[in-house]
Amino acid sequence: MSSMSKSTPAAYFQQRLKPEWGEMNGMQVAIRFDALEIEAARKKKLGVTDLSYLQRFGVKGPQAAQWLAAQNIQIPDRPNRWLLDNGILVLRLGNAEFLISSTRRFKAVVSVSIKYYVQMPLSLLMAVKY
Amino acid sequence: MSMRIDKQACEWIERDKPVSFTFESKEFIGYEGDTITSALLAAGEKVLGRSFKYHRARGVLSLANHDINVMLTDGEDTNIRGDVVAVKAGMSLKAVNTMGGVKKDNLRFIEMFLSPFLVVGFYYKAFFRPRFMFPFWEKIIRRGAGLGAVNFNYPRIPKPKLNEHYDLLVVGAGPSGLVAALAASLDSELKILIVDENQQAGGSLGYDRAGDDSKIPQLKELIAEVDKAVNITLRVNAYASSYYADHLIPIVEKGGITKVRAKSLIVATGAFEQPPVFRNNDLPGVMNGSAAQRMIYRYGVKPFNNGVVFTANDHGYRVALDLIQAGTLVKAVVDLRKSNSSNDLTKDIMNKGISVYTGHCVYEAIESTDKMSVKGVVICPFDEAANKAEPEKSFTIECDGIAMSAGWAAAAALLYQSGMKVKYDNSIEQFIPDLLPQGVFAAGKVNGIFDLEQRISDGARAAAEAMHYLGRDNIPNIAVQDPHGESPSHRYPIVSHPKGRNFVDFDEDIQVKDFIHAAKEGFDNIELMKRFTTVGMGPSQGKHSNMNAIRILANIRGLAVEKIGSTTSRPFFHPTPIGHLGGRNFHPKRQSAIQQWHKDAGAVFVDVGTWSRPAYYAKPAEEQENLIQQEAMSVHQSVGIIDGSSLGKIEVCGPDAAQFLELFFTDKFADQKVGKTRYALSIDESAVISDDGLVSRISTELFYITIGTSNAAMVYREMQRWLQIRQLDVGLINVTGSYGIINIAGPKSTEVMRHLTDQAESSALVAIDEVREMIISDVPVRVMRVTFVAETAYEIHVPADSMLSIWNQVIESGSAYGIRPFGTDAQRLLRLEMGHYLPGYDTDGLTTPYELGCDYALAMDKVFFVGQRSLKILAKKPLLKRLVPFMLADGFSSQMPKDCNLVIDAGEIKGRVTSISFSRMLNRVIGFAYVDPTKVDAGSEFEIKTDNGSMVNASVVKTPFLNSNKAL
Repeated sequence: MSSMSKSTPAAYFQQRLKPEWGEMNGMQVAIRFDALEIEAARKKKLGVTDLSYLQRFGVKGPQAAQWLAAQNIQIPDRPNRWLLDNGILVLRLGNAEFLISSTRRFKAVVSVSIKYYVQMPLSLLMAVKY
Repeated sequence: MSMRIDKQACEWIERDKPVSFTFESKEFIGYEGDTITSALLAAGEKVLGRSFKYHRARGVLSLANHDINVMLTDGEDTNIRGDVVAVKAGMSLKAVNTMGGVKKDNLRFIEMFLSPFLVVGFYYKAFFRPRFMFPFWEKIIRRGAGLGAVNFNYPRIPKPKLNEHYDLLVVGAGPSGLVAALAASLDSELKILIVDENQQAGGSLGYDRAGDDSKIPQLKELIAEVDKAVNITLRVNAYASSYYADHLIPIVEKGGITKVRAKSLIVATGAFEQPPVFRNNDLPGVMNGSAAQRMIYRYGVKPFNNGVVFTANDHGYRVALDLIQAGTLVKAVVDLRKSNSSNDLTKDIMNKGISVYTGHCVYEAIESTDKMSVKGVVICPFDEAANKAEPEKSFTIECDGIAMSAGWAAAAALLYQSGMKVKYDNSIEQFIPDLLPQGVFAAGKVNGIFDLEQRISDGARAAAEAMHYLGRDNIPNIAVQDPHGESPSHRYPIVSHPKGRNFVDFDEDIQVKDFIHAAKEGFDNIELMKRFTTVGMGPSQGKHSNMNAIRILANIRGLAVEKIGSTTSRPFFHPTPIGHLGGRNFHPKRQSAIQQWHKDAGAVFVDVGTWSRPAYYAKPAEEQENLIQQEAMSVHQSVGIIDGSSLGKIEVCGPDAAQFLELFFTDKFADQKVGKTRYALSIDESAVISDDGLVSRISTELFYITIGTSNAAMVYREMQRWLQIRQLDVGLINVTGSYGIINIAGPKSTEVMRHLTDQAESSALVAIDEVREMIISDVPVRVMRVTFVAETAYEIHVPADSMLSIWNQVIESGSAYGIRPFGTDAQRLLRLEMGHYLPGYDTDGLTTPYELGCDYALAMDKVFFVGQRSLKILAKKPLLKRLVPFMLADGFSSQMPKDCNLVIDAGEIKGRVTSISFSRMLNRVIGFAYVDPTKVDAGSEFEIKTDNGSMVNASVVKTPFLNSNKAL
């Protein structure tokens, strides 16, 4: 079994652009589509990148905010806000609904999510995965 | 003959910029700033359009988009309002709704020969029977009546919707509106927008001059001040289309809509001039007084050479003075009112040697022989108290035009929509605001204030009130005097005539007699009368007709005007192109995580709900039907694989999860064992089937539900709604996009599963009605047995990002058995062969579970579930139809019945075919149909009427068809 078992939903589109492929978090990822300087120039105007490889999970329910606080994760004080705390991106989608991801690849999230996952049966793990 | 006159102060045209265009194939030259109508009038054109029903020649009435006499097409666009659309170089225009051109419109014969039959209501009653002839008559009448033809090749021009926020929005840049904006702008923190539908600001201050330009400096100063104020944005050619809650006002411009959210709103929209009603009041050359004034001062055009002014207020005298200034010979002023001789304006007119006939009316306009212009007027005394003309004392004056001033109707659409309460002010004969909602203010004519100085004060007053509302302190109270003197509107400017042709609504050719007729028919309430006569229902939406209609109805019923009330004023204020409302055509299609794999495998895609799914997999030189049968056969004989990712997937978790499902679905779930699946049927409150699906109990507090592709979003929404109603401790997660579904079906599917999961014993795998979580190549998946398309079939639910990897492994594991992907076409056939109905396919918007025969899924002993009450009621009523599986005779080869063909029994329609297909496996045509509920047992026969009318015999069988075949 290859370690790259995952693919992004945008893979069909990226393939057409013939990128240089690499691997992140078990997913086949387009590392770059053009030379670095060309991509940098592009980024100055408007660019788009696929972050599907980032680990992320949702936390939902009346106790969601308390639970996250207990995990020492800072949360935005109002819905439709986000904050970045120590590499962890926390989006508050509603009063009792959060999406947690990481900008520093997956390291920070993994430490949280592992702690989170171990308390849960496999079923719940799947349930909360976005 | 050119009607263009010398340059007028503050005119809108630029005489150094000529613009060339064609109208009805003839070339014309106008100026920049001209509207299409004004350029044509300047060139002496009078007939600019044809009326809706009788195809009467029409010219200018309001010159303000309060009527639709002048509607044009340029070949691409249609219903272009000539009165207000600027003329552009190279335009090639024609009047809409003519046959043979505006001057020789052959449809004008409708009036000559058919008009006695075309009174309102006649069409419906006369042509309704015999019913089969109605489409014939409808076609003929529709060809004659109507507006422009729709251009189906109209280019799609995306029009963005913008959003803007202001502290104050002022609608209407006439004197009251301009002053209101200026007064409010003194508070530099207020952000103010003022909009006006005209090309330039100023309103009536620009054209209602009474032959005297002395107010022009005041107009210039007002506009200059507004320009100077940094916190005012003035936008012209922009109309406030409607009012929505919390002061949301969409502003329509040529390029699109701006949704303006204002903290407060001042409506200074003025008033629509209402034409008096008399015979032939619609002839080209007969126009509103304000239209004549606009013509003169905006475009430098003389309305006519020899004219008569028919007035019922003081405004008519001002119009007469303007006409004189423009070089028109005013032959007489005819005043409907008896007493008005002391007035200064009257003296002015009389001093110029013009005859003033008070207590007289224009009894009729005399048409020229070609019926396209005015030859003269018949004038006679008018008894105001009895609303009666005295034609026996009539006399005639020759003229080529009539200017009319009878009164006004408040342009109060926005105020009505905002929830204003109105009252009828008898002193000015007008509906005025009685109570306005919070933050909404009215100023000027719309507020019943007509005197110019008072209108200016009223603008300042409205601004002060708006500022106070916005929390500003120390705002002075500004007093506005009540209107005084003669009423600006006449109580009843309607002149009856035995020969009719006295038009009230020009859009729809509605005459006074049509109202009398409607009242006789019993439609004597304003809302009913509106619908029966269609008054106010044309594109002008009653701008020039509603007030007269109300007055006529009040007169017929002998009631006061305020007792009649007004009709509802709906958005939009002016007809607005649909393209303005259209979105960006942004309809994303959902795709499976392995869509590319399907494409590579030759899939032909079909839209299922919002998803794009493989219908079948094409192969060179193979017919679609053959491929579908092949795909199905591989499932029957070995193993097939289908991507079911589009199915809706919802997780229901929490302590009350089971309770919630018992509420939402018809069956029981509290006793469902962990690790088991159960069929679920959902119906709505009226017991109509909405969808079905499969409920898997993953743990005590977690259920995983799969539901139909097309209904998934709706079912999820309904679940959310019921959760809110019941406030249960349940979490709903829509995981439709999070998982892919791989369905492996066929006798060899167990072998494939075993290979895939390294399970030695197939029985240790997943039993029927079981769901199990397992790991395949490090990927956590859920596997369940489902018998939808085959006796032996497995569904693997895979996290979407691992879908491709697992799918490929299944293909690899199945290669030894010749595994073949199949699409939705084969899936439909397979489920039919299995005898499974499909909600939305075999049901419609009225189907109940009893008609489907799925009573077993109804746990009527539960305390409550959605639709249970309706089911109890339905259970007591006789069943009208039942869905049954059927087969056609062996070797059937005549006309093939299709979906929706009717089931006929003894000449009566009993039901219809819902699904029908040939099955290669069975070598028979099989299907589902609704039939007489007394004939549902296997072996019963019924007839299907095919497209060519032939009758085909069908026999009811038992499902699954595969077994019933053996039995037969």
